[in-house]
Amino acid sequence: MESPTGRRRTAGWIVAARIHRVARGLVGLIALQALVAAYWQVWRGPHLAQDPRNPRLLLAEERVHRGAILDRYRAPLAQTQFTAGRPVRVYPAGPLFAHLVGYRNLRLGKTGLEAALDPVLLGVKRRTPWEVFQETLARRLRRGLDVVLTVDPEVQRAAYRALGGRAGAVVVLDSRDGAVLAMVSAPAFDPNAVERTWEALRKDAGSPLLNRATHGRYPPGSTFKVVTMAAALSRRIATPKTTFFCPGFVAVRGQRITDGEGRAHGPVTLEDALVVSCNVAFVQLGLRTGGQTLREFAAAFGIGTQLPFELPTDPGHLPTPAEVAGDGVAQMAFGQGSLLVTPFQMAVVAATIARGGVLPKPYVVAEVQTPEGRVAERHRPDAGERILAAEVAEILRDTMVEVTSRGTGRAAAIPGVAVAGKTGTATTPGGAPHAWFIGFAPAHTPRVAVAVLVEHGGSGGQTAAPIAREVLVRALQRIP
Amino acid sequence: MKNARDMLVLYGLGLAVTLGGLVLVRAARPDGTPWELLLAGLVLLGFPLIHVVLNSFGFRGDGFALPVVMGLSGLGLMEIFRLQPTGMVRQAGWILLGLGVMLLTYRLACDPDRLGRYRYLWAAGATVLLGSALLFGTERGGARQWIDLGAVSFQPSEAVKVLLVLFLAAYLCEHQPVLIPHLPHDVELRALAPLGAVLGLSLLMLVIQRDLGGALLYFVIVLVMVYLGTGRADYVAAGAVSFLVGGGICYALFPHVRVRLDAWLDPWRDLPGVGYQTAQALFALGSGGIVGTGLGLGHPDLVPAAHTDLILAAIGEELGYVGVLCVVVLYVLLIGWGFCVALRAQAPFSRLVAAGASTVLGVQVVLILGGSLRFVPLTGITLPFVSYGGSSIVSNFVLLGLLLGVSHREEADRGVDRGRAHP
Amino acid sequence: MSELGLQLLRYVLLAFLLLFTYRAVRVVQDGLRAAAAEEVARCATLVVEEASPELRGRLFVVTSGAVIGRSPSAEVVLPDEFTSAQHARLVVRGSHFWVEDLGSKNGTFLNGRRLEAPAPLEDGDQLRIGRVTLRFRWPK
Repeated sequence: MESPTGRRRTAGWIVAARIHRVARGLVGLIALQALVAAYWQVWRGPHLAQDPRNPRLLLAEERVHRGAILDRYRAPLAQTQFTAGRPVRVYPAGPLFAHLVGYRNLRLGKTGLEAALDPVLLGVKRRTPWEVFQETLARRLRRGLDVVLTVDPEVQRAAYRALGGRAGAVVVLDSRDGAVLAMVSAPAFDPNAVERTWEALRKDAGSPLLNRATHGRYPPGSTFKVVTMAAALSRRIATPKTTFFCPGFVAVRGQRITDGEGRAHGPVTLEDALVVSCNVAFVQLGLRTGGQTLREFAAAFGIGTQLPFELPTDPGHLPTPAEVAGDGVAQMAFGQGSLLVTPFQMAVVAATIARGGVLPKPYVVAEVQTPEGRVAERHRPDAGERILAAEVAEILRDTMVEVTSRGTGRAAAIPGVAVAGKTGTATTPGGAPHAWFIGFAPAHTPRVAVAVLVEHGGSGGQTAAPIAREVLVRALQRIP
Repeated sequence: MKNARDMLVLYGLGLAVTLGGLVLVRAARPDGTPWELLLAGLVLLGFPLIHVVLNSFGFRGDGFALPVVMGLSGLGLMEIFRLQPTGMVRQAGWILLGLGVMLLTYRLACDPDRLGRYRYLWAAGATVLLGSALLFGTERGGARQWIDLGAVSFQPSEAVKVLLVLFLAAYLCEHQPVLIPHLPHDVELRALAPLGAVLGLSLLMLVIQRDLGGALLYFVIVLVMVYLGTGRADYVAAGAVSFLVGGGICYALFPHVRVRLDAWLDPWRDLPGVGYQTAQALFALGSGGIVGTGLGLGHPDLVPAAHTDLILAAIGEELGYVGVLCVVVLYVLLIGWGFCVALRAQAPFSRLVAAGASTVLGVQVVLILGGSLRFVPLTGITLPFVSYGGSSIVSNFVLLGLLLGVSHREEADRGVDRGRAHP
Repeated sequence: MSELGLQLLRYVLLAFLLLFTYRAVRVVQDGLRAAAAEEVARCATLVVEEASPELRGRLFVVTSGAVIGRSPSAEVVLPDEFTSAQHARLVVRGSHFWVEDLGSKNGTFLNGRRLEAPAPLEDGDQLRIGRVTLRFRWPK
């Protein structure tokens, strides 16, 4: 046998260092994975665990008895029922509150108040580790809290019915504190069947899934004139008796602005201009007031910003200073141009005037109660911010009463009740103009404010005002 | 080597962990019968039993790997029981089979020269196996790696990786004098040719079968073993370059590859589609946090292929970072042990076999740990001893048997030397 | 089984898993320490006993493969004219150091007897290389 030290040693010598290198490399790579795992599990762990795309979150919800959403009279609008041991979310009101209440679906997600009030409905509160431990032990089905809303189903139904099959929105507020009495958006859908009809809903050209009340952006048309008038009065640029001359048209920047019927009103006071909705007069008023001021007042009313509310709302579009500089303000003065608002915003405008110039803080959640019935949270009334002098509001109010008694808003008049209102017929490219109506009643001791929009409804006075009437009648009946 | 008391403690703890885990799973999810727990326990007892049997054969080597592999197998059984109780029974059966095969391999490996002599048999066998997969294989998940034999199916590429190691070790030993010094090129190339042919053929077959994880594994094995056998960095460089070229071609030709790579780079972009598997694995790992959700209390079933490829995600979710850390450490110890065996071996063939076997195990571990953790793309390689899968279990036990054989042989030879010291 | 019990068991299981891993690591650690000790034990010392004044009393620590000779590349350099460039070598085999003569001119002497073939060394053995006498020390 050859020398054990000879051949073996040479071979061993050659291979040893290499084995070391390969070993170190591989073992190092394996050990590195411990660090990589630490990154994902320790560092990014909580983030991953709470990622809304993590299906575990949705499954965890299955272990909670989700709280119910109730209307003003504590009738359920959304509740969880157990069929064959599995929780099913049921919407007894069907399409009536589809947009406000929204839906909660494992696959499709959550919308409306179901989404916005999720933490409350799931009963997620600040819990101590001890509580978490106890809960894990008990493995009891946790109960969420119930939410009581301010909405009145009768008013909602009246609004929905009044809209008929037309696309549009109605928002009804209790003008005294800003509580939402009704919020309707049409076309609607049945939240009970949303998963089944999802594809059809998605593809529907009428956009039934859109909440037009809070997210529909429309030019306000003549309803905006109340803001223009408010600005002019507040800055003493005009008085209700200030006269303008309306020859039936006015040319601004090469464009002819006329009234809807092409009528020439001749000499009109500011008051009358609002009552008959004379565009020419308001253009003149707008030019005198100036874009800067008009913008200021529009912003004060909340246009261009997201109103604080339990649901997310669209801020609309406030024209930029550049757009309303010089005679660019003309379009805005009568509610056209690049100005865009939501029906919800216009309801707030109406309510502000009803409240004598104090901006309301709209809300829809009246109280939150525990499954045992104890009130956990109650809405705290907020006085709101004054944006108009009381006198200005008064003038506006009186003028708006004239609108319904002898002006364009006669269709909204209610026998025995003074209704303050303003119609709007907002021209829009492509299609008939949008029909608007905003108002409140009873005019001198207001309780209810309303905004009605009918998409491509034509004349505000003809289409929107009657709807407002129906709604106001109902609301006044229901709300003492 | 390592004293008996330490081994007993390890076996005991490993058994306790697995049985405890199975009990917990059963408590959280009462399906499966108590008999299954018994079966798992018996199968795991096979490890210390084998240790005793080895000792009775006069085993002189280092048996440290056995309790470590028992621990890993136990973790695998635990988690598979949680995911698929019937699967656990089959897995236990595979482990039992694997232990038996390991014993056989050990006997063979005690006489390494014999292993070396059959090198062309190994090469032929490898070719036949891969070819049969190509011809008789059934399509599964976009790849054709499996041969269905009625109740069971096996993956020839798993067996081939073992044969590859044996063949390469023997070949490199035989041609070592030629490959190392810088001789004229034609001599070298002639020596390298069969190697290249083997590599090329096996890669081709794998690529056609779309078993890209296997192709990657083979490539790395050949590269590492050639490096170990020759120490020539230029071979390694040439190999790396051809890998990149080949990889590029694969990327261009196969949408399969592109999908995997895209999923790795940004799983979030197409969460429901391409990135689903990777994203779910990460969600599972993250939801586990440090201590995990508890056995049976998590949702590892949301991760696709949780019981095979992505079992680490399941362990990570239910046992947390603690569990994953332990798994990583155990693999570090196992692979380290394998290389120690290689270093202690004296005969070059034994060294190469041991180093090759350790490399195979190590690369598999890196690929699947890395894949589960999004460190590298997923390649379809499974976690040795833990993942569900008979072919994988058995072939890895064969590697273990080889290592034990080399370890025994080496210690026995040292003893012989020592004997010679006293005339 | 009570919920509380299950929750506790969860943590107990993790503890056991950690314990198992820890013990495995310890086993490896102990093994490495023993191997290191073994490595240390594989160093022997050669003490120069009889030689020219500058060499006397010198201590050489040697490991397996150490070459003794006059060449400056040797591990144990003996600048003695009766020592060959590569005179002798020490190798560890099994549990002993062995000494083998590398074809020196004047031969290597172990405990007085001339070395014909490699032979094992015991602690305290005396080696004579050229005119230098070295004491082999390797306490176990």
